[in-house]
Amino acid sequence: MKKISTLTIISVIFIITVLFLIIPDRDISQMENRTLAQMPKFTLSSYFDGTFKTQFEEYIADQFPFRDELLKAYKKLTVKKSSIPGSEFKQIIEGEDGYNYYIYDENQILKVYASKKKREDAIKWADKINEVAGLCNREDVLLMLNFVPSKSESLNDMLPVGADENKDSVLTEIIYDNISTNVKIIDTMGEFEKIPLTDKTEMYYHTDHHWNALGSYQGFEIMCDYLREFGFDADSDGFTVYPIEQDYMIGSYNRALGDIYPSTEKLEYYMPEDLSVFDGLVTENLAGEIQLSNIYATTQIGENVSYATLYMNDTDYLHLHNDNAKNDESICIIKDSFFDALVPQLSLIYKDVYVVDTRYYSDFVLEEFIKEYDIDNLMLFYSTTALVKTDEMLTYDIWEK
Amino acid sequence: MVFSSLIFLFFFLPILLALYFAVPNKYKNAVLIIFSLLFYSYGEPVYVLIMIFSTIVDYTVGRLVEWARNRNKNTKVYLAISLIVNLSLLGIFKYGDFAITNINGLIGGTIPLMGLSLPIGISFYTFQTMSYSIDVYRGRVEAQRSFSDLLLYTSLFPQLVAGPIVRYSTIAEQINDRTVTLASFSDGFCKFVCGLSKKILIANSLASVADYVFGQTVADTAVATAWLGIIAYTFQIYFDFSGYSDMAIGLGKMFGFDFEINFNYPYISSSISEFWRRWHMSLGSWFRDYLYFPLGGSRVGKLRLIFNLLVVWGLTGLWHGASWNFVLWGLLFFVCIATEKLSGINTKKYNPLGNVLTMLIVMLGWVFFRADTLTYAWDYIKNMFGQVGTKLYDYDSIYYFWQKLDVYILAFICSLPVLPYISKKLKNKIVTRGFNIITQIACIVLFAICVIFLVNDSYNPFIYFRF
Repeated sequence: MKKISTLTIISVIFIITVLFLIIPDRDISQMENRTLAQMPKFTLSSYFDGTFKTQFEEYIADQFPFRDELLKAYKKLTVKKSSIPGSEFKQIIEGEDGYNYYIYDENQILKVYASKKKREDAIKWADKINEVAGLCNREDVLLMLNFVPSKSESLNDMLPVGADENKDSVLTEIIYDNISTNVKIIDTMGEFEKIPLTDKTEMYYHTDHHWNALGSYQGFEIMCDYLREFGFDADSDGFTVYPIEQDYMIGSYNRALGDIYPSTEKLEYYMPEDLSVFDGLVTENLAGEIQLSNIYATTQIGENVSYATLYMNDTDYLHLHNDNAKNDESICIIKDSFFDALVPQLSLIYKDVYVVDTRYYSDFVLEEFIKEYDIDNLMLFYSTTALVKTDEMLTYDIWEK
Repeated sequence: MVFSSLIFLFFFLPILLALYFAVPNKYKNAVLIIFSLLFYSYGEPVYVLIMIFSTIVDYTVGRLVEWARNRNKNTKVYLAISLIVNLSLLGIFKYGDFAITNINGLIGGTIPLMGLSLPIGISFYTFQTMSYSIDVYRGRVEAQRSFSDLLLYTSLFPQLVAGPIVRYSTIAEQINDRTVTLASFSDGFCKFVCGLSKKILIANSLASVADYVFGQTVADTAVATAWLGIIAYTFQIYFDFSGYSDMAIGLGKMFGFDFEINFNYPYISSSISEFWRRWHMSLGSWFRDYLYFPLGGSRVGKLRLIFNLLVVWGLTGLWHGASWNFVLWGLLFFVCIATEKLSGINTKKYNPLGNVLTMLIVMLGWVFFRADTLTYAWDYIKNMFGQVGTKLYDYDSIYYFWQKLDVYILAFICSLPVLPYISKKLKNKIVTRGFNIITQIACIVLFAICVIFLVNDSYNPFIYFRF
């Protein structure tokens, strides 16, 4: 019997090796939303410095026959269906990104941040914000800070016992306590806190970490309330829902879980009822002029809908100029992807909106930018997911060197 | 290259098997040498030369010892050359910076560190080549006349980088006279799959718990989480290392070599002495035969016995790594074994209380082994006993308990000699056959699951590689 099992496995090994050699290499993986490693070039230097070995192993793993099926099988194998009496634990799966995902039910996945929130991260944020505040003070720029609660933060009460203690608000409170009083806070976190949990579950995609159209519209309403307090003309009336025919999207959580929880999502945009308000809007990125349909990304929606394809993919720089805006001022937004859903709306309020994602804008220097574009207002806009990515988010320079 | 990788399983192994079994017998050793050097140089393209150099030295020493003995001349000087060269290699690459750091600390000096990376497996192959030279010097084996045959012994890829420490005498005859049947090949392959499964399904699964817990500050670690972390590491290191040994033994058998077992269910031990008779047996027996016995062993006075044990266990600790953590870890076992020997405790008979105490000591030892610094290890141990003031449990405790409960149970069962016990008890031929069929189906299923896990995460280094 040992002989049979051995010959079976050895045969499979040889077959897979042959398949690997004859199946053409793939360029991208739709399931993982990334480009796949290709056969590296062998050079003596790459061999001796170890880069060939690393790249070759990545290539083997990425181009392995039936990779997608094996990844799905892995996720199915590792799904834990614990049913512990008295415990709120349902299923927790470790995603490919190393995070734990809590499967509340088939239509609701939440991310669990196991690592403890670190005070030093909050202090780093506060220090950076204070540096920005110093610059804004000197340049007579109004500085606003807007933290939007992450999905796990908003739906914190749905998390399993113990995990609900690890809140993002621990960090935001430290930040608020340690920043200059010149910073105007748009307290989206506090306002969201007042919304009932059942309503909040409909404000985020079920299988993704972003807010959905409804959530972002709620965020916009809150922002307008605060902007009015700060003396701007801003209002969120006159918006309506434009449904999208697709109902399936690859959420970031689902992607991390090998796409094993296909779920239907309510896909829609909140847009002004009267789209003529965008007449005269000129939009450009670093490559040149782009259309409104690239921002409300109606031209990009194909089979594989994701948050990124619903709006613009995260982009380094975007400028919107609207002569019909309510305020004749300019604003620069330093943001993460949550702001992507609000880009066109803000162009109705400010004449010039500059959107910057410092993760992709290399060599961004804030002081230089403020001077070059004559910025009147600056808003730091982040979801609280950014707070655990301090080193990624705060890499930009404030001052010219 | 590691055994538990796609590149090994689906490229290196099939190509080697195809070539090895295709060529006539007289070329088989050449194929093994070439592939063994490729295997090592894939990860260590430069340091492969050190391994070859070590082999050249011991080959020459072996020949010179025999030459001198045949002429009634002094052979010690040649043995001394082997020991000095091998221990110097180990000293420079493994302990050089450790020594400099300590000297700088003691005298307030600023001697610059060498910054050399540790050649993989140097602790294993230097001990193997030294055992060859010592055995030739003692007249227990004849010096190898063929350099390529000695190079095959040193470089043989299954045991090259993480043991077991195979003595030359164990495989001397098999180098030129070995047979592989389908039955022995299958035995070896099943052993390999068993080791692969231990590594991937248990060790790697629990590594994520241990890595997470030991990556936290002690102040952030609840008491229950600290216990879970060290339990996870206790299983991880056993299944990681014994899994590697099983794979090495299995691969050896597939090519006709019989290596001795390296682990014999160490966690059922009732005493620390017994634990070390069951854990990393090839290292324990190496120190016993080449250090402890020459020092006089146990048949000496009490003070001398204590000295002998202190030397052996201090060096055993140091062998595992250039850090005071490892020395302290070794000395912990010195204290336990000296106590057992001097108090006359029967270390051969099983008793449950002894087993629990032994495991507690072993686990405390693993804290020093896993922790980066002595301070962290000490604080961690205090935390395990509620002396740091952290919470009794938190989300991490609950999560890592339930999430990995199946793996803990599997690891616990596999730590016990359950399969040998069942095999021994089975008398009925039909039942035995049924049992064999089930284990072989399990072998196929386990291999498939291992491949699925490997595709998901191909990075899984072995703990003992760093020794």
